[in-house]
Amino acid sequence: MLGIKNLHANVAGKEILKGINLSVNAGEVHAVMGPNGSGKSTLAQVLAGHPSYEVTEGGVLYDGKDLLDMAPEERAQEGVFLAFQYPVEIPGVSNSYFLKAGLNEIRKHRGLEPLDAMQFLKILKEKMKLVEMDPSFINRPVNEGFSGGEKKRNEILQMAVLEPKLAILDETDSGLDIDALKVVANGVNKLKTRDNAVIVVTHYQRLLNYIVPDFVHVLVNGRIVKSGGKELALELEAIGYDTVKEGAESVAR
Amino acid sequence: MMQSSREIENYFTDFHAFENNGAAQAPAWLKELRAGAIGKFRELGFPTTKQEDWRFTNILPLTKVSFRHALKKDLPEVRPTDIGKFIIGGASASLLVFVNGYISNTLSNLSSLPKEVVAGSLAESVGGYGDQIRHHLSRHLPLQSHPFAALNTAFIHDGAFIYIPDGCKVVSPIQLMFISVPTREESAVSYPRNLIIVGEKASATFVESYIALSDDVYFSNSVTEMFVEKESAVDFVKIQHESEKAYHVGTMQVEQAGHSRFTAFSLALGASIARNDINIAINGEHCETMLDGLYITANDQLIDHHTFIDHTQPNCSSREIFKGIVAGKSRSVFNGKIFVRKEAQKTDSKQTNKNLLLSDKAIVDTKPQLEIFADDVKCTHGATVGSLDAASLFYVKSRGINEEAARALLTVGFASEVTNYINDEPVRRHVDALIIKRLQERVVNTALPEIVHSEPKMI
Repeated sequence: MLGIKNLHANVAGKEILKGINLSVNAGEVHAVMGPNGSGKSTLAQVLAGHPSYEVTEGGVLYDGKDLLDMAPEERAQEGVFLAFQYPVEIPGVSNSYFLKAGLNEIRKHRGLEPLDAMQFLKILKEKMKLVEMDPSFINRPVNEGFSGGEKKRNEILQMAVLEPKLAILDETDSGLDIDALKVVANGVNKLKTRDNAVIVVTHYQRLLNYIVPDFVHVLVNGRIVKSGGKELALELEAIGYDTVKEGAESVAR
Repeated sequence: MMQSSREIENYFTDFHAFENNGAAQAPAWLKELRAGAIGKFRELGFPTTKQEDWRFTNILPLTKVSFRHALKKDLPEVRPTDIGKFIIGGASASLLVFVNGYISNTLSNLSSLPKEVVAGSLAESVGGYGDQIRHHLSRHLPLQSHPFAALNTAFIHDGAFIYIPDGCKVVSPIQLMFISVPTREESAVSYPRNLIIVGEKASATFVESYIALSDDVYFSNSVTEMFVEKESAVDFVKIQHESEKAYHVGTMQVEQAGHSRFTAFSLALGASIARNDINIAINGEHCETMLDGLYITANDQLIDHHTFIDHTQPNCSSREIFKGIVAGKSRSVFNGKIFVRKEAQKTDSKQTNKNLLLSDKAIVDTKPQLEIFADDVKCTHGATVGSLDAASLFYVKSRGINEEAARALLTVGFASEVTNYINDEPVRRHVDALIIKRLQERVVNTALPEIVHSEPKMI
């Protein structure tokens, strides 16, 4: 589904990604772990098409198409979804309008009829149950005045409604207490099918107790220095990133 | 600055006709006030861009039109169905309707107002409430510096007179609606003059709206004076929705007494050239003042707000937020002055002007000003002119929404942040709907959602 080859990316002239290689197939859950500043969030943002990042080398194939050639909205319409680390507040625009607008664009792209307000509301209410969100959030402005946990839950609600093929969760666990973490993880697990894939970007192993990855990759200084199964996350938790970093540096030397 | 053009002579010709006709019955004090004001206007003439207060607002197009005083005898018929959509709150709404500046008692409806409230036509009230009107009228108006206010004062005749007695709380908004309709061949000028007195410990919400029933060239030159007495609370919303060929100059003069709360919101959408002067004198301690507004300009429009908040007493707070959406080849001007006098210690004042510049042919002039003479105060001000936030745009697009629709949604968001400060919910909904309609007609090319608000902000 996703093939990242030798991906290099800059922000404000500084190279952050220095040759990422990663393959993700349908039905898989991948965790990308790494210390602060390693480039995890940059990878997530580059895949979603953030305009501040400049890809200088390498490429990304998504379902056989050149992902980097697409505008952010086209990527979303093709089924890529990024759950933001810092979701943006949009005053004045209701959560339901926002989601309906997004979903209908995606449906249009797939050749489906747009949903009317009633059909959409039915879907929205079902999905809200999945992430245990109060129906009062339907008519509140997007993320405005939401707590940190509510914002993250709202990201997963959006994921549930938009039904992406490839979901990238960027530090979705940060700022969540353990109960909220379980709710969010449970939502993600219920959305998991054989046909979609999830990339979980996280600093801590904690979330991976609830969203169990098939593969774990360790990102250090813009490169994946180690890949393995779910046990790698536990190992990292025990030995810390510094050991891996040192290992990586000695390899680089 | 003297002008000798034929155009300015029209105003004097009209004045003489008015003096000998419509105004002839007026009491001596009122005749004197008018005569003094026309003298002032003759002395000042129309302002030019050489004057600091008019530097960015060239009213030359206005002076080139031969406007003639709209006369009562020429009034066309306006039916209730013509104005239904402009009324907030349906059939029981408290409403004073003026057509070309003259009261229409058939369109007005005051049946829901508490009996002790005095509300009606200024012209019809001069007889019964002469002393009160004389005491307040033009008391603080800066005729010296504002020729249009002088011109309005010369033609004082009709408009709203409202007196809310001490302790009276009026729950539903009182709407003052000024409708312009074409009369004869010449373009008409009207001079609405409103006097509102809110007594001690009283409260009320007012909506003053300027509306056109056709796409005509005309000129509204209005003055509203408001007295907010001790411990009273007043919400005021002005809706300027004139024809896009019209000219609008509105002056608002407010005086607040101690422990009062005054909130004002100015929505400016219409007119070819519009100028709003809002002057608030805070003449008592422990007052709260909130002055907010939104202007949307498109095509060749020019909308100017000049605001002046005068802190004369200690322990008061003021908050001012004006936002602008400036598109096409339009221009907007914001000049906000906060004046903190030596006596006004412990003043807490904030002022912001944010402009969304949507076209490289549009121009924004903004000048926030703080003049502080007290030493123990907390005052901040700032202004921004920019485009939409890139991070927000990326977020919206990352949900599959295309560039154009994403920009439109964020523009709605930009506007909604300031209407959130309108306290009365039906009024806020009405204002929000006007904004959406305006954006859709003039600024964006996509469908827009209804504006929603989170819990009203504590202010």
